[in-house]
Amino acid sequence: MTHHILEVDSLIKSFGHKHLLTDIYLKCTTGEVIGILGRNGTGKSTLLQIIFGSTDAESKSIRINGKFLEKAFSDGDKIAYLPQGNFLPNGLSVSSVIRTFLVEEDRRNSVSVNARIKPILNKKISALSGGEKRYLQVLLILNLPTAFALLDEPFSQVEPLYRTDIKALIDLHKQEKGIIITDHDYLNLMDVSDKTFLLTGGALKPILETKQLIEYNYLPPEKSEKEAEADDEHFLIDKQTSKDLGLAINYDEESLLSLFEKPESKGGKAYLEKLFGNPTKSKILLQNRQESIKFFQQNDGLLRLDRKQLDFITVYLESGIAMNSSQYSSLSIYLKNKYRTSNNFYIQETGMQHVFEFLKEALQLATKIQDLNPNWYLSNLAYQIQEQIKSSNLRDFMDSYGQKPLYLHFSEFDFMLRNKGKEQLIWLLERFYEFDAYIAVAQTSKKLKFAFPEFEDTQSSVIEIEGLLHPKLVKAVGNDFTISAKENMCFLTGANMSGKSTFLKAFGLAIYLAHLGFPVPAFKMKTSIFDGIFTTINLADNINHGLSHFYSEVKRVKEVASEIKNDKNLVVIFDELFRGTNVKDASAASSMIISAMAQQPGSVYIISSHIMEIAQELEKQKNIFFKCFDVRVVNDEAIYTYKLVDGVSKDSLGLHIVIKEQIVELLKGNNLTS
Amino acid sequence: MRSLFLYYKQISSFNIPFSLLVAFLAYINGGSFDVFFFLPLLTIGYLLALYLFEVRYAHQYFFYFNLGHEKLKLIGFTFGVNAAIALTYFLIF
Repeated sequence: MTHHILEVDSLIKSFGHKHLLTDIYLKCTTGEVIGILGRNGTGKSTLLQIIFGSTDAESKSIRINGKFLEKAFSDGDKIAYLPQGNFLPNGLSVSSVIRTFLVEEDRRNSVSVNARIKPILNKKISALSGGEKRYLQVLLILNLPTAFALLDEPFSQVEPLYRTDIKALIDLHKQEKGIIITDHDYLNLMDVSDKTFLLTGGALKPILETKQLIEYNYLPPEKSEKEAEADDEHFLIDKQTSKDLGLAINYDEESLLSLFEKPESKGGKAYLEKLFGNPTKSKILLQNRQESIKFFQQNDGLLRLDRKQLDFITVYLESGIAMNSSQYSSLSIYLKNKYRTSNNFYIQETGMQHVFEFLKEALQLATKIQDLNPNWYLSNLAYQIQEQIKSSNLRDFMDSYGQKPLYLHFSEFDFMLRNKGKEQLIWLLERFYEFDAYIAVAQTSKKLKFAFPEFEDTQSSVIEIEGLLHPKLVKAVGNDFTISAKENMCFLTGANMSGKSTFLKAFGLAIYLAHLGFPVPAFKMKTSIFDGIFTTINLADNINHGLSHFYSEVKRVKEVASEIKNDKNLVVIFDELFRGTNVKDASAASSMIISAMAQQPGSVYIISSHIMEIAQELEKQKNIFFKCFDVRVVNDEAIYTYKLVDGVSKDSLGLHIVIKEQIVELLKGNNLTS
Repeated sequence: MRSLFLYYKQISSFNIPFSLLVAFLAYINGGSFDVFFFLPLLTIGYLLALYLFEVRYAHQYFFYFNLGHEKLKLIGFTFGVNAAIALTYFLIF
């Protein structure tokens, strides 16, 4: 066996102003398999074609056994190249191709008796499956009497069994020649290669282990065990809480959702609404979402979204226009529509163009995201986007659209997109909508100066908030508030209009937003993950069920109590407990319920009340703490600070407010002072 | 040689029917059949066939490259065969 050495260096190849290959040194000897990995567009195929001699470069030095070669292939016995696409003439039979391609009789015979080739000898190339075609091509290239073989993606579009066979072929033929392979299937490539390189930034980096592929950002970071186990666990919330906090999924003035910027696309809007209605208690999901929103907040303008394009693609994919993939059908459709374009033809033609642009944009976006080293979740999504586009259906379309004449391939392209590649396209669209929704949240967060909450690892409940305010108030006053397992019950008091209900709502909203993975209306927030939130702020009577206001309250307290007893860590908020009954009963009932609830560990409670008298009784329990809103009376005028302070409020401004509103004067017919 | 003739066959599968059509149209309009057959066979029909092959089957050039045939060699061979046929025809008739 003759020993040959192939050396490649001084290689420079540019496209426009972009240097594709700049720093390449490659050496391959007989008996060696060199594997080259690289993202799409990094120049793997170009590198092989330059070595082969079918593509020119600004500068190159290709040497075999020290002899410079300008067009290596023209010698016939130096280098063979397997291109990515099918290079065999479709009209010929397999046996005819073998006879034409292989000159040596013994090579022809060895290929013809190959177990996978023998049964298909009389089939035409066009009648072969993708795997059969690829296997035949690899077999033919490796049987050419050349010193080296360059294989461009030999494993692509091939089922696992064929991959194993192709690996066996490479192993067999490496004894007589040097082989250079590029592929995206890094596992098979690394398995069959003696040396592996990653083509990145125009240079080849040696790869010794898979970990390096992650470091070079070719593969997404590995999932930790926790991430692998992360399930979407639902955070509990009920109708009353949703009503109290304005969590309805609409854009009414009252709704919290109306506070958020609207995503640009229809799909993005739907995605945001879906996110908004699905709070979770999975820490991994929450952190992934937070990191993604932060990523888009920091990288403004990364996603270029053409709303019309996305909407049109959806219409195109869902259109029920009949499909047919033949060339005859293409030509017939094209001729029919040449002078008078039908609506269906317009949808198909424009849809295909939009899909092509969209796929290009998606690939660029995925590359940009990977270049910016995002968190695991986004990095993995970017990787998935590339994988989906590289899948055979979309890849065939990307390779052929604009290259092959549309009048002959119109129906084929349409079939590729609306039938074979539809699922992948819908998935890709969904990712764009997801990013669009994140961008909307990021913009809102930036505009309203929201903060991302930190999630505590602790099992026991804790919430620490600094500068909490209600996001709907223009001149809101920020308040700091801490509640923990040790002091899990806050008894909140304050004069009328001092800001108790607003604070409770703001607190509830912060908890809800934190469990969406969204930023919160506060300066800083740390929280443990809770199982749910139950608020009772604007409880009404229920005429339909014949329930009075008081009885509705009792039923509600019972409902919440049963949830607490289900071993759940909840956030419970009651605004003015038992306001629907007389002071005496309300006082006794409140004291009884608050004391009982405070003894339930795990959950945290904030209960506001005007019945300050029960505070003395409650003080006996160590885990109950007291907060009130500070109100000062200066010159008979109440000054509301909206500041939360320690203690129990002694202010009684209800009568003061009624007198100030001059209702009695109005009834007596006296003149009202303005 | 077998592979060169395969390329010739692929190019001629468009070139010959196209040239025959031109010759037929010229003939019914009073022109010479043979002149109007060989003329497009060596010019417009040939160029059009090369263009269509490039557009539709560009990948198949790798089939020939792997056998050591450069594009110029393939084009030259095909043209040469056609020119030889035309020359022989006009020398005989």
